[in-house]
Amino acid sequence: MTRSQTTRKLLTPRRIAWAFLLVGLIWFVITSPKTPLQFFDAANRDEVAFDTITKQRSDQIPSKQARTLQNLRSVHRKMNRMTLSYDITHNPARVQQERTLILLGSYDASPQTHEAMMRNNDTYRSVAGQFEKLKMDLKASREPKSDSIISGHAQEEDKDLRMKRFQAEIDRMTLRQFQAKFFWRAHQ
Amino acid sequence: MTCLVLADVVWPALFLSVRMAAWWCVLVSLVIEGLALWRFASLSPLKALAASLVMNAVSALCGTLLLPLMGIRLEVFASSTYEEWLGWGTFNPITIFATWLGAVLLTTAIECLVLWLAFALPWNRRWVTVVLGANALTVALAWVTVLINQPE
Repeated sequence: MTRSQTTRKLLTPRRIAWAFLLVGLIWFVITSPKTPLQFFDAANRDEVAFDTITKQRSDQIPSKQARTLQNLRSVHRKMNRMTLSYDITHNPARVQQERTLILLGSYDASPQTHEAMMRNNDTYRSVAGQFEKLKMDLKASREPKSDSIISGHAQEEDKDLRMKRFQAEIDRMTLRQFQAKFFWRAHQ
Repeated sequence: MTCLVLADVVWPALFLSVRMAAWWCVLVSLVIEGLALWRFASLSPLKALAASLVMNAVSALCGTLLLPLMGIRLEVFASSTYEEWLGWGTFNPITIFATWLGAVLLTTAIECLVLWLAFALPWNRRWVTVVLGANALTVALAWVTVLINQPE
């Protein structure tokens, strides 16, 4: 039997399909988030990416309030991540309880966690200070509340762009939930 | 699903995917498809049962991810076309029918792939038709139960 005949015999369509399937499966397992922090980060990375794409495509110049709101969100994300990181070690039951919120890229710490972090963590204190300041700035600007800013922006975006974003968000959310079914490990 | 409900979005395929992954629905598909493979695709009873077991497990697993993704694409299309023209909501006859058709084609594609990969059945119009028919029946059954009693 010649070499090419042997190769042809070995590389059957079924074997090639199995190889693709296995490689895909391994890739999926490796790249899937596993810990609560990884799920939280994945959800937030998606949100930031969608925000950026939406802004680029809609060619909007963000108003001062929109920028403040964006900074506020970013600082809030930082705070949430720090409290989540703290709770993974100190309050794993709450992390488990808040699994759904974490998959959506959010996390609400308990008042006890917040107090403990304010007492013991300088970085958290500084970020919390920054958050309060941004909140005051937003209030002081005497312009529409955050909710109406969001919907105002949404109205400006064209419908097609909003639908595309909506579809992409649902896609990523469905994928994260699927990954969480198999890989979620509350304890690191 | 809790994640998506929390995000305040539901669409027909999401309900259908939840129902199709329910143990009793998988069991019903297993019986229907096992019988169909044995009776119409000339597989031995044991092989038909094993094939039905594996292909249903894989299609239930993949379906929980792929069915909602297919459904949201349909919904995005529907909301900018016929739902807008006719002033219909998300749950309407056209979407329900299209979701059923999409789910039948999707599960048939997955299950035929499994039969080919795991059981080395050569691609053949006869058993593809058998799987298609069996799926049409089981998905229709799942849809009817969704319409009667929506998943929580």
